[in-house]
Parts: sequence; C-alpha cells; structure tokens
Amino acid sequence: MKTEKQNSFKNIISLKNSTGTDRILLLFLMVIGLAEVIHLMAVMLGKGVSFCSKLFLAGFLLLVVIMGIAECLVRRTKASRKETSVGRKVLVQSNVPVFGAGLLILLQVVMVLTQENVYIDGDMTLETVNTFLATDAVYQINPLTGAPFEMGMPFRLKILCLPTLYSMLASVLPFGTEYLVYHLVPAVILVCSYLVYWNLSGILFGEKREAGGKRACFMILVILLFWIGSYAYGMDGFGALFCGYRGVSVRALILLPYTFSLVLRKKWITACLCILAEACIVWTFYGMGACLFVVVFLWLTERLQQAFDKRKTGKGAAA
Amino acid sequence: MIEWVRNAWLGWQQYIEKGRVAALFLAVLLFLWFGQKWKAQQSEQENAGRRLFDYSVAMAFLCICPLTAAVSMMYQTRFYDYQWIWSMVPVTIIIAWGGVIFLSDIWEKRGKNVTATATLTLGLAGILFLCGGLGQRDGLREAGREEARRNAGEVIAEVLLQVQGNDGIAREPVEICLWAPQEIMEAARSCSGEIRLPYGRNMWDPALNAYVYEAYDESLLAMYQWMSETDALVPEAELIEKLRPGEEEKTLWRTRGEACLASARENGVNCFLFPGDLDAEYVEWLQVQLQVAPVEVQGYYMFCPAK
Repeated sequence: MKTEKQNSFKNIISLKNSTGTDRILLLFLMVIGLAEVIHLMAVMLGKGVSFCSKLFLAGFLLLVVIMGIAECLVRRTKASRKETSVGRKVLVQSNVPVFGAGLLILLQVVMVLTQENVYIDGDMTLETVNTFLATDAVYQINPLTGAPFEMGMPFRLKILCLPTLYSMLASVLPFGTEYLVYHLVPAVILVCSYLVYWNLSGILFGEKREAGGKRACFMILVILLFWIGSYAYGMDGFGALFCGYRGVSVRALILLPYTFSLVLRKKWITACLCILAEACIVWTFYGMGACLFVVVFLWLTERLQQAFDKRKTGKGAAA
Repeated sequence: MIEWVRNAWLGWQQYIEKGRVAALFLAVLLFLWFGQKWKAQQSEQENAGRRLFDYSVAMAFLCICPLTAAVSMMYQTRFYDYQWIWSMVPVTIIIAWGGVIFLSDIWEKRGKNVTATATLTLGLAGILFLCGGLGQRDGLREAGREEARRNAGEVIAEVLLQVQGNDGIAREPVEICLWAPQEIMEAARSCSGEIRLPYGRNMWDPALNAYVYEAYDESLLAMYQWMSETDALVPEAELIEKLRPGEEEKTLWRTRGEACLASARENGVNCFLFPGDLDAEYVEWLQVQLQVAPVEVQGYYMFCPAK
C-alpha cells in the first residue's frame, strides 16, 4: 500500500490527474516562460526582435510537440480514458445550458474581436510593440517619442516580457500590430479564462455527468458577471472585455483563478509556475506577487481551519 | 502610514461607489455561511468549497479593513491602486458558485411550480444586472472618442503617404518628427513606430511617467501649451463680436508661437500639423514662419519645411 506521502507526491508531479484544460493551461504558462527567457536574452545581449521571433517559433513548436507527446501518453492510461469519456458525457447530458454558455462566450469573443472600445489610458503596450518592430531592438528607444532613451526606464519594468511576446507574435502572424494587441490577444485571454473557470467548476461541483448542468450554469453566471462587472477598470469583466492584453488582466483572468484551482487540488509545482508567470508579466514586489499571496494565504487558512476543527472535535469528545 | 490607511479607506469607498458587485459578493458570502451550503456536496467538493469560503471571508476582511488593506497595497507595490488588491479575492468564483447553489435549491424545491421558479430566476438575474453596468464610468464610452482615434489614424496614414511620397517612385524613407494637436500625437506612435515625436502621451497622461524616467524641459512644456491653445482657437466667423481675440492676444500668441516653432525645429520636428479650421490670418502667419506653403490633409494643415 502506498503511503499518503507517496500518493501526494505523485499528485504533485503527475499529469495523469490533470484534465485536458490543465494541459492547455500548462502550455499557456510555458509559453510565457519561453517568452520571458527570450526577452531577457534580448535585453541582456542586445538581440533584436527578428532573432527573438525565430527562437520563439522554434521554442513554441517544440513545446507543442512535447505537450502533444505527453497528451498521447496520458490518454493511454485507463484512468485517462475514463476521464475523457466522462468529460464528453458531462457536456452531452447538459445540452441546453452548455449551448447557452457556448453562445454567450462566442458573442463575447466576437465583441472583443470587433469592438473599438479598447481601454488604453495609462498603458503604452502598442507603442512599445511598434517601437520594437520598427527598430528591431528591445527597450533601446523610448516608445512614447521614438527617440533614444536619455534617462532610461525602471529595470523592474524592463524584465516584463509581454511587449516582446506580442512583437514576436506580430512578426510571425499575418495581422496588424493594433489588431493583434487590442483584439486577438484579448480574445485568446478571454477563452483561456473560461477554460480556467470550467476547470474550477469541476472542482466545486465534481466531474461526474450529473454535475454537468451545474457546471454549465456556473459558466453562464461567470460570463454574465464579466459582462455586468465591466463598469470600472480593475474589475475582472473590464479586463476581459476592454483591456485583455494587459499583464494585470492576464493575472486576474487566468493566473489567479488557476492558482486557486491548483492549490485546492494541491498541485504545488504548477502553482509555482503561476507565481513565476506573474513575475514575468506584472510589476511585483521583487517577484512576490498576488499568486504567491494566494498560495500562502489559502494554505494558511486551511491549516487554521483544520486546527480549529481538531479543537472542536476534541472538545466534543471530551464532553 | 496614516496617509496609506486613509488612501485605503478612500479606495474602498470608491470601489463600492462605482458598482455593487462587492456588495453582491458579501451577500453571497452571508448566504453560504448561514446555509453552510458546501455540506450538501460530496466530500471532495465540500472540502474545496469550505477552503475557498474560509479564504474569501478572510480576504474580504483584509481588503475592507483600512489597516490590512494598506498593508496589502504596500505588498502589491504602490504602482497599483486599491482596486487591485481585490483581484486576490475570488469574487467571481464565489458569486457564481453561490448563484448555482441558490438556483439548484430553487429548482429542486419548486421545480414543479414553473412560474415561481422562473420568477425567482429572473429576479436573481435582475439583481445581477442592477449591480453593474457596461463600462460607462471610466470614460470608455466618452462620446466621439473612438471616432477621434479612427480619424487620427487616417490622418497619420495620409501624412506618411504625403511625406514619403505617393508617386510610386521608390526613395529612401524620410524620418518624420511630427508636432500636431493632442489627438493626433496620441495616435501617432500607436499607428507607426517610425514617426518620432518631440513629446509623448505622458505629457497629458501622467500615469505613463511610471514607465520612463525621461522628463520634459520648459521648452517642450511651452510647445504643448501653445499647441493646445492653437487647437482651441475657434474660427473668428463663429465668434460674436465681444468674444473675438483682440490684437494684444493675437500678438501674444504670435510671440509665444515664434519661440515654440524655433524650439520645435531645434528638437528635430520636420512636419507640423495644425487644425484645419484655423482662420486664414493664422495660417498665413504660420506659412511665413515656416517658409513653406501648407498642404491640406484630412482636415488639417500640414507644413513640411525644408531642412
């Protein structure tokens, strides 16, 4: 019989206990990691966007191949076959709410892809991307004026990789930079966010077919909350619908909810990847950001609750 | 420290002023607490729900209490405002989870009574919609803003075409340093990374100063001020007699304009855009100063003096 420690260690590192959405989101985190490595190389060694794009493309293809092989290996195990068929049946059994959720998501994606309402105040991502592409250099030129830096910019901002990632995508994809940054990327972020919430619904309501209706309703409520909660900058809905390209939006829509999902399932290594990903895209306190806070605080509240329950049980037994 | 605590308290007040999602979140927490709703679920889900609930209660307290909120704001660096500490609270997850449990209860208990079920469900949807809105409050839907951006983009494209030459003959690209009204300067670097500007968006959007250490000297500030005044000049034909600028005001505009145009040339500006509804008197003066005739470009006067 395996000990509890052996089982929990397997849980930490095993892809077998992961869902399909977990594997997609893991790829997302690895893409951010890849972009960060290439970005740091560009900043430290003075490499240009054209060099970075080739490296990124090669790295991305390698990641996709590795994840594809891992997916095939996972699907071969009995547990995974059962998981997949249950997953499909969950969706089939709950046609109407799933169809409703899918339609609403599609509407939002179309809205993000076609709208002109993009919130750009206090942000210079597009200027930075255009500057990188025009000069084939990373952070050599002031994005706001196009003149060389005289005083420079804060290093804690220079290490953030999103503008370089968007520049690399713009140089390999057949879209204009404005469309890519303000529409395509936010649409991808929106879809990934819904994958995270679908993942969370499985934790809260279970993965069995009976839970399909509840999971679909959960998704519909999330979609509606994004819509009605888009009244102010800083709300999840505002980030999802009007500025999904920003690092703070990626953190709020994907990294933080996914961190909750991972910590609730005690997947600590992937949770660490979320912490690192956040440090790569958002200004943090020496790398310590909201994801680390969530991990520590959630663990702490669980320990306190367990201690409280033990005391309560102890008192009850004594009585 | 007192100021940080005060800022945290003001931040909370602004957060709840803009919408009621926070209030809905607290209401759902109360519903979950009094109903102990996670106990109706299976053990794994019960455990997850319980942990999430405990965390949410603790975090809600942390974000509302000014002292702990101030500490959280310090942790997330002072670059970010109060509302971002709430991103660590699973507001959307809790509201959606609570909503599903509430709806499941209604449908299970009153499932046969379709009218009651539908009424309660629609009532919940109504409460949901009353708690928020669609991006109105942060100036996102300011009238004409999107149209102004689109027009500015068209003007920039036309300027590039005019300066680079639209006769189809291949030539060495000309480096453009553009000085124009704010709405054009705002869009210039977004449209093309090849256009240089004497000053950027951080001249009127101070939040951008956090990204760069560059500061602007007095001459650039004066240029921005003078261009804003020029942009505000209403055609004299539209003014009633007593509001028309006197000779003294016009002389002052010209004197400051001379200095600003000289500063612009020193800063490398080789392409000037001015509003197309300027009176002929001002356009003639600009023509004399810049020693080049203007070209009309999408409702603006463009001056490209020779070096």
